[in-house]
Amino acid sequence: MGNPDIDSYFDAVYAETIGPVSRFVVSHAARFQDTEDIVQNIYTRFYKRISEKGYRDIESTEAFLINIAKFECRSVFAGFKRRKERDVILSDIDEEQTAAIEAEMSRDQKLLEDIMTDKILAKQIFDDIMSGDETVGRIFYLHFVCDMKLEEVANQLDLKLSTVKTKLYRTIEKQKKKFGI
Amino acid sequence: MNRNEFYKQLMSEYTFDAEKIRENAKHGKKRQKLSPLYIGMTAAAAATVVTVGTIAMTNLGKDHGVSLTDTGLTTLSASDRLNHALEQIEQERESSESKDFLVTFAQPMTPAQAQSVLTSGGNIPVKQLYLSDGSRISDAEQIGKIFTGGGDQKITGAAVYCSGSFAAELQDDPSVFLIEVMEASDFENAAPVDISEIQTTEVTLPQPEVTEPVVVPPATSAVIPTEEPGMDGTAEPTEETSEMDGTAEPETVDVPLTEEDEGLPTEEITTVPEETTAPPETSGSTTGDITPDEPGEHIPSVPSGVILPADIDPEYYNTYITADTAFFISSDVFIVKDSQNVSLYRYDGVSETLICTEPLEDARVAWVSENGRNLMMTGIGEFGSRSRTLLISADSESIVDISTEDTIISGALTGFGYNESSRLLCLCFREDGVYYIAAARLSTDNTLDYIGIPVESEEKLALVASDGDTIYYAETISGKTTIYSADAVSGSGRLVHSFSSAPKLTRNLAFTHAVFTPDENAVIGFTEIFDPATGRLIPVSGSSVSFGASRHSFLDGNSCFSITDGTAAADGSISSLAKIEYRRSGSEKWYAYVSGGTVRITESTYSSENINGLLTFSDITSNASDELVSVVRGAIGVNNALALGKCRECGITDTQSLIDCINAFYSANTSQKLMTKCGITPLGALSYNSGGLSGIDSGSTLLVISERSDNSCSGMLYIESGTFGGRLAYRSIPVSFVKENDVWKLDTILK
Repeated sequence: MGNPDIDSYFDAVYAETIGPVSRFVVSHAARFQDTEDIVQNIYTRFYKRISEKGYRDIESTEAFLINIAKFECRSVFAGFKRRKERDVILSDIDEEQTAAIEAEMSRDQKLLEDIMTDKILAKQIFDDIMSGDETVGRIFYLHFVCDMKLEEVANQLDLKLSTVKTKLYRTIEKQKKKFGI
Repeated sequence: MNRNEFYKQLMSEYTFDAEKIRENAKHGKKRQKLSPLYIGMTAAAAATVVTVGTIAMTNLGKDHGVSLTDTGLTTLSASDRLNHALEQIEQERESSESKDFLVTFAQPMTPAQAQSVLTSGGNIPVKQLYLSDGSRISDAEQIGKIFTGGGDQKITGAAVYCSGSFAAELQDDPSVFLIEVMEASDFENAAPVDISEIQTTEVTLPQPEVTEPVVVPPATSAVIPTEEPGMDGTAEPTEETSEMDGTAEPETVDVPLTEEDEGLPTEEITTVPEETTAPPETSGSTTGDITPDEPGEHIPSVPSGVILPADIDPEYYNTYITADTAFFISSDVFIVKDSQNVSLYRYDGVSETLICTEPLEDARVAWVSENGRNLMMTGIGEFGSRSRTLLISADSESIVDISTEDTIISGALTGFGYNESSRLLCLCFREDGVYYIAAARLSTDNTLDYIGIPVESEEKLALVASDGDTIYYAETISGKTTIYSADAVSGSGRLVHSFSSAPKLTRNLAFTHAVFTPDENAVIGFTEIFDPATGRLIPVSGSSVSFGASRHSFLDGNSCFSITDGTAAADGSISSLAKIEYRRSGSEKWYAYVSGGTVRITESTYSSENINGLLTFSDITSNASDELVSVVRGAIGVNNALALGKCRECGITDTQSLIDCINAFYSANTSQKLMTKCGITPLGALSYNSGGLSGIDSGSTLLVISERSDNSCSGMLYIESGTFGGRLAYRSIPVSFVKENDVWKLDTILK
């Protein structure tokens, strides 16, 4: 570290690409719990590369980073296979339930703000999402953080829309009961 | 805040720590998944961790940087580890910097004993435990259970994170046999040192990850005189050398393997060209022993002082280009490789011209097209491991980097396969203890389109072959090798064949077949060739199988075979041999080789004449008398003087002397024909031309007489034409002799 030019370039690229790169990794990593490590490694490699060889020859930073991401994810196909193997088969929730949950999702609740300030409880809720079917974590991330519609999430993860909805809403319903939220 | 906002904030905050990732990246930190378990931690220090009695867990692993390139303890023998560790620990003795250390206990300990030793200086994070049954435990909770569970496990070692000074203190504890600095990969590959393997012999330092290719002195040539083989400084493998490129990885401790290629073989070495170029020896042919000088009758004889060059060395051109490998890839273009560069040159018969050059450290041939005009070479990339690939083309006279580094990055290539038919490129590489097989497609404009990683394993993987988009690879676990298939695109696959042992695997350059040779300890077993088109293993008789650049033809011993529909049939065509011996057959005109560290060029044995002519591969035994052999030798000496324009050098200073030399060995009739052919007239100054004759080394000829009478005889003169597929070949010239003045004369012009 120490080259201001490199650092400022890196910071700008990072701010611009962390969204699409993390989205790619979340979608393609074999294990969702590895995604942060993979994102870290992608940017570590990238910083090392531009430190040693410069960045003038990089035409598209996003494409360059996605290429590294492909490498880091590696088990793109095995990953999908594993995810499917680990899928928990749930009975689909019906349209009526879906509509009710979606309506409830948009309702303001003071309790939720309080929970966010309780770091321990918030972490427990997060860990609860991550501890189960790992597809659930991907769905939560892509839908809530990446603002992808559930149809897009389904396409991205090669899942049926009904499966995505079921996993998402059943997890939320479970958490309501488990954590009283 | 509604529930949507709640989950958005929750996931954003806890999934990634974006700021930390950014700053870690600038510090070159990569993630390490092991979470240490603190033992002996006090309650005060455990404020932020979950405490179980005196055992506490925390997650500190993510902040520890991991070396991007490491060699690892598995590259060292037990003795080397001991010496290396002792040197290191002395360097660490004053260090306050914390590192990962592998502790080997002097003898297996109970958990309580181990805890007592490890916590002698205070709290210490334990990342991994090694048990006496060979298993290892890296999960923090499991480690905690070992220490608190009161079980009867025996601990042989531990991976701990501590300062160098504390590690040195531990080393001084008699309960501790050894403390070693750990690399990232050691968590997965290394184990406590096996004390029984410690030897008291001299210790060597770790070898580099990539070993040098096997170097064997070249075989001597039957074509080129080998009077002074020691003068040849070349170092190419012989045909006995297996087709390895030497990119072997160090064996891991837990997966003993035979000395197989691990998917590395890239460079296939075929029968070695004749590179011996001893200084010309002016062994000449005089006529003292064959031309009786009878008074009263002029019997032609070689004039006094004339020494005819019957024995000649092949001519060569020394380019003085320093290299370790050179060979032609088209009629006039040859490739030159040294330790740092790959270059293309053009040779016009007089001098060479540099076409292009590209730096590539430790280049090795990884693929050669069947026509020999295109090849790929791998070499060391920017991370110091084998990851770079150049495509060298005689057609476009260019060298192109096809960017395999983008896929391998800091990994190390252990196997390379490119199938020209499907244009599928497979890279087997290892990083952080995991083997990966990456697939990509080489487009017609020589750009590499990444497909994906269909296979990964913590066990050793080796590429076997490919057919279409199906990749065949071998995985070796506990001394047993299994062949699997995997679709390059979908990753789906199946088990193809299981071996009960771990045979040596050698893949051909074309990535169309692989040879499995029984390991040294196998009681029974055949050398078998895997044919991906049929999924069969084809047994072959020999143990030295070489494909060269050929897709389906191979040499087994000195016999050539071709694989069709899952069976191998004999194939003796020179064109098949040329594909196998691509280094010798690249040009029909020239043959480049390295001698004394520089590139030399001589005539190709794979000449159009030899390829299209009738060669004899049988063992030839001469049955001619010494007298006839002497006549042939003299005639060859005359021929060479004429063909090489060396009459004056031989002492022939006038026309009559030249005519006398001709008449000394050729019959009167044939002498006249030869003189006409070479423009020799009895009158005037010495003048002649080569008459289309070519030089022949009489030492490389065998005379076989088939018919004989008192005054005439005939037979065949066999002239060595070089080795093809390890077998000496001869071209043949029908010859006849007549007796004139009771002396045998050659009645045929040798061409």
